[in-house]
Amino acid sequence: MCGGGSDKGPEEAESRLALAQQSAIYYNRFQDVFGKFEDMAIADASAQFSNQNYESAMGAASNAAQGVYEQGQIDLNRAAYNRGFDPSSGAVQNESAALMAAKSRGMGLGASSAGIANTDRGFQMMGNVVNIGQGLANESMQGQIDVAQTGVDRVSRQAQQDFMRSSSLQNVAGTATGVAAGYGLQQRTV
Amino acid sequence: MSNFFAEMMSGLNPESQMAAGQFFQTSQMQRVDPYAYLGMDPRDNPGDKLYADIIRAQTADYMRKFAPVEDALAASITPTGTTSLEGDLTRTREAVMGAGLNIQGQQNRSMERLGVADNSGYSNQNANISALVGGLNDTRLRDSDRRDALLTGTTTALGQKARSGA
Repeated sequence: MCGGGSDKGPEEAESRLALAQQSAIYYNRFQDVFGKFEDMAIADASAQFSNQNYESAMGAASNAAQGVYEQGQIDLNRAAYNRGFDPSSGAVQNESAALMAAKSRGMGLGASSAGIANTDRGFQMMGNVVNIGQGLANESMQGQIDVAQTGVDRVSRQAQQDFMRSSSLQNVAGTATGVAAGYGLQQRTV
Repeated sequence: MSNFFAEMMSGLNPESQMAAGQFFQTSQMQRVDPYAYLGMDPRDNPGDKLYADIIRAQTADYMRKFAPVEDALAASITPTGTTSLEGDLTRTREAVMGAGLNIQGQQNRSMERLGVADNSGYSNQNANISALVGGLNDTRLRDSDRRDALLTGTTTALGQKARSGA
């Protein structure tokens, strides 16, 4: 019966409690300072799929595509009338209709692509939130600007091709080089 | 303070109201009291107990904030793509056909100004259908890409982490 020790184990080092307290203070501070940003990222990710976001992205893309084709059309009409082409002639009507169709395609597919990009962005943001939760936040934040610019670059290239393909338009305005330079397709940036 | 909050909320549109409401609601985080075990007998392991409290708080925070997003992300994956495909297809249809109508209207007005009959309707229709088919195919491909990205990206990272027990 000698000794009579208790059930309790050895004494815990005082520094262990101090370290745990330090961790608790860091945790509380993280929640105070950064916790709301995590909440914000989660709210943003869910809001990315809202109709408002889709309408805004698709509307902007459609307008950008329209702007790219607009200047070329104005130049085409001016060149045709300056050279005395009859607007009711088959050549002018066909070219005009073809370019309108190309413009329609540019606007429609540009808007569609922007909508899909919005969905992609929503999934990317959800993935980022998951990464934050998993402590993999290093690659979490990426800008949208480069994504949007890629869309505008693509529609600009498409518009240039559409105008370059139109051989009779080249004859109206002069040489092929003249067409490309003369139409001065709007190079947009976002 | 609550008046200010109510005023601010009433000035927002419904979607922003919902997002802001979620934001302020989810900000109710669980704190850990660093001094909960101060003065406890060192043989009762107060440091370990406090560490355990922190781990519990972190886990609760993860379950409250991030687990629902992980669930939603995993649920969005289908055998061929994602659940967003239908929405994207609908938007593509509306965008292409809407642009077609818009341009047809522009063309009509332009021709009317010149006093010329517009005979481009049929060819424009063909061009629209062609653009629509291309757009729908592109939409499906991009949805399939999105699925692949989810399977090989975020969810893979989660799987690796879960397997490693970290």
